[in-house]
Amino acid sequence: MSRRLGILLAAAALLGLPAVTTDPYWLHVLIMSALNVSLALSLRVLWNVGVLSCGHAALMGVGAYASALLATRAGTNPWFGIPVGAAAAMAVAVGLGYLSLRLRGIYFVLVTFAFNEVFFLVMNRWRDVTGGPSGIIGIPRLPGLPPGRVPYYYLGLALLGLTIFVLRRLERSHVGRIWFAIRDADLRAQCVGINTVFYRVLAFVTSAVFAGAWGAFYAHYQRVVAPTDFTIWQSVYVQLYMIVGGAAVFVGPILGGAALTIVTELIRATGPLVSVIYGLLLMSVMLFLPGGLVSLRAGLASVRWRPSSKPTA
Amino acid sequence: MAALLQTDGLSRNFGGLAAVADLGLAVQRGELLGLIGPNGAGKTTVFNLISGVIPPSRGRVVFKGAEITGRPAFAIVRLGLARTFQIPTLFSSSSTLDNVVLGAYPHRRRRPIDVLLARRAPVDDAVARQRALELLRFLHLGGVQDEQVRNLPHGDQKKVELAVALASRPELLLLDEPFAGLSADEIEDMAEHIQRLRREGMTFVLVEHNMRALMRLADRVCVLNFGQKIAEGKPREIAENPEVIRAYLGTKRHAAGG
Repeated sequence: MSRRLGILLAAAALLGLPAVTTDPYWLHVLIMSALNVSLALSLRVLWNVGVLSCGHAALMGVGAYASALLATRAGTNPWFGIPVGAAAAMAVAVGLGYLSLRLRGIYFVLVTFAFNEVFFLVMNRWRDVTGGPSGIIGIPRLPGLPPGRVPYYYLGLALLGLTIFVLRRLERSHVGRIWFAIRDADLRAQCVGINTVFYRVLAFVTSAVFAGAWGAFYAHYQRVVAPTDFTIWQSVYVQLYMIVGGAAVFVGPILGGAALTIVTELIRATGPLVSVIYGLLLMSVMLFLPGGLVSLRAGLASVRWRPSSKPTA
Repeated sequence: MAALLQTDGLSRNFGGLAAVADLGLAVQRGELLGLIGPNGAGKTTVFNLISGVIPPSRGRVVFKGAEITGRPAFAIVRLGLARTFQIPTLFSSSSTLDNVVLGAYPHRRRRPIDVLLARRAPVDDAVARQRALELLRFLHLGGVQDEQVRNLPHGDQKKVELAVALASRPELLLLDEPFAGLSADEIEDMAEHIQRLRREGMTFVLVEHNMRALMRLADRVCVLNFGQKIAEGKPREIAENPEVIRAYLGTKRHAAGG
């Protein structure tokens, strides 16, 4: 019950925030948090079948470029770009998934790594279509939205809500149970009749749909997309959001995505020190909180209620 | 009568090593065939080839009159051919009950609409749960249904292995060393379960190093050495076969005494 109350309070605070401040900078940080949380949550779908992808940013890029090109070249309604972006990323994931998810472990990591690099190179070099390094500019806003950042803030919240709702339901359905079963014992899963390749591709496609849709949202929010938005480093950041938050549970990527996005903004002023601080932060999480930020709660609880059981450092 | 399972010229090479060479087996409905041989003789590889875990290099596997050679493992289970693993291979983060429910997967309805709506298919789930509970009771595992399997003692894990395989309601069950690592009492218990399942008409192929238990259960025994069949026959004939004694059993006393 208190958990439900907490979720309601958080939702109410987020919904009511623009009444308190409409500072465009902080609205932007929150919109980017919603994006990063959703990317980390969708990456975790793959993690749940025991697979790590290094190409999540490129899948988001597929959605972003598909929607941006459609709106700037074909002049279709930008709203149409969100499902198209999702479908484009989905199509890529189906192809890439069936080619590479028969391979286990490190091979899929390498294939997705290569995919991210290839995507970057193609977007960077194919000037006639993608605009090369400077990317696509003048992407239209989503029509019908009032001017300013507040409408995008609410749209981002709505998309975030939808992402959380769908992914959580999936995880708790029998599909989710099969995903975890494959992670625990792939061979046994095959031997009880589960088509493990299909279910792994399904996980990949699910994660791609959300990456693609958020990519399209990103394109029509920033109104500029460039290859450097979707490099391998962006993919690694998404992995970090998930792992630093705690990949074992659903709230992990939510915590990690939000906390790291905000921390990144807070330390941006330190300039070149950003990567140093980031590195130290990550090392401390891995050393002291191997379960991620979510384990902070259990740690605090043990300090509070069982102080004598063992000395805490 | 046509055999329930038949292999012809079944072979598998790993690099230059012929792990299984030109193996012909026939398993009749209702019988229990023992498969024995020294370590590395290719017994588990035979199971992997039959159950579709790895494809054969040559030869064919026929189950219920249809060729299943090279079909994926998940499709073969759905035809009614299940297996267990020598080292318990279970869904470690799930409860005992959930492991067995997952074992019933081939009999779950899989409507795309349920997947799209992420439904749990409640009716179906209740049926699978009910069946899993019955199986656990049958194997005297009712007391640990809610335990996570990774916390169970080895003997119970071996029984959960059996329960997960049984949940798919197989006609033919390949058991890979079901007695390995069990105490004398647990072996007795496991052998009784196998006997009971046989009376219900299930067919078995059993790989086992425990000769006493195997010889008592088996209708026929097939002996492998270096991937090749060196003998096949009634347990008594096998125990007295000089080539088998040389390659595997050692002395007659061992064969009789386990």
